[in-house]
Amino acid sequence: MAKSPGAKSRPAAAPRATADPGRSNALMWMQGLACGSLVAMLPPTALLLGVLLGPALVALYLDRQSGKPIARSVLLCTLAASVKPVRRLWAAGHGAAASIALATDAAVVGTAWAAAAAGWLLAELAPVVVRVVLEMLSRSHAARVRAVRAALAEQWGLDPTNQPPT
Amino acid sequence: MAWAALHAERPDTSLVRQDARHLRGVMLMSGPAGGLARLTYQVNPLLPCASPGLDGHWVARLTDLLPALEAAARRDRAQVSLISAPVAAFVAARGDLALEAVVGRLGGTPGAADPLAQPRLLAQLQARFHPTLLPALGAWIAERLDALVEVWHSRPRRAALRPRVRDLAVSGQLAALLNLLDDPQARRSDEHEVQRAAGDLGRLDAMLARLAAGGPARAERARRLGQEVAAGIGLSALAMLLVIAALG
Repeated sequence: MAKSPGAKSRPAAAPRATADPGRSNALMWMQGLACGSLVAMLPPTALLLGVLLGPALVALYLDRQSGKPIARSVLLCTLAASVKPVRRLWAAGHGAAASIALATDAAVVGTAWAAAAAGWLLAELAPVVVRVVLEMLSRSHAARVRAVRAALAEQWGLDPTNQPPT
Repeated sequence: MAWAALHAERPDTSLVRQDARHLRGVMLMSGPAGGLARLTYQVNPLLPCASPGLDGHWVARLTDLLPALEAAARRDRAQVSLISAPVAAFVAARGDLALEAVVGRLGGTPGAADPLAQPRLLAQLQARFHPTLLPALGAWIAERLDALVEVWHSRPRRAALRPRVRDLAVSGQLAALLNLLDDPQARRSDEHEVQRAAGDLGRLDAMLARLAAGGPARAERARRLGQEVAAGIGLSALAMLLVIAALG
């Protein structure tokens, strides 16, 4: 018995619709596995990163926007600030004592957390700056269009009383 | 009809009936080319034009009209309508169908008439009956220059035409003046261009309205773009520090 194209495509569409949550779960599992591996294989590094990336983890938990834009910015800035301490940890032999010393060093932690704050501030300010730039471009474009309109109306004597939208 | 039937020397009643129908049509015709004045000239071929502006001039033929009008224009250039109703009726009665059509476009009231109607009639009369320069009539036309060039929509074109029309008018070349003002192809092009300009104006208004109403959309776009910029800056900082760490 011949099947209609709609009947054939319908069973294929159903698994595709549920693919995203599955992939998300798989990603979550992989992240958990990576973190677990890090803790199991490199506990000093995991300890140091856990302390330095604390604000980023909190931001990941708190940011409910799609794509977690604020948490992403906080995480990237904190990771950038964590490169030097992690390097110092590895240079010091990658021991637990060195890890604890770095994780309790106010300058190291303060720098990383300040970077997190800078990331958050960046994520909040960048849309405002971009908005200002877009508004300026829009106003400049509107001014050019209005000038062209005025010249056209003057050339052809068209509706001098009808003002364009502002 | 009864009179025609009683006279043996004019027995052709059908011809008289046809004439009567034509004259009745002329009398009932609306506008300057018809009416009682036109009928008066039509049934009296030797009757001179009775316009008050032509005082002192005996104008019984169309060839005599333009010199009389030239003299009238020289005497009183400020008069509003040189071609008065009696003159129009006279021209319609003495002229052919083409002249009658030109007279018909003069209009009943001065405001409703085509501004080019009087120069058009004067130019036709000059071309056909009096091919010499008419500087006084030209000066009379030049005084009404603003109204004449307003038949054009394009203001730069009006500005370009104004001195040329004035020169031709003052020199009395009415036909050349009319050719300049009443070029059908150029006026069609002008009409087409003004319609296109009106369309462009509408599109520009729509664009301005879209820009004015696009605030929320721009805010959303700015939010997304700003977040990407922030992430890009963070990623650049991370990449730079990783490179420094790798090299140092």
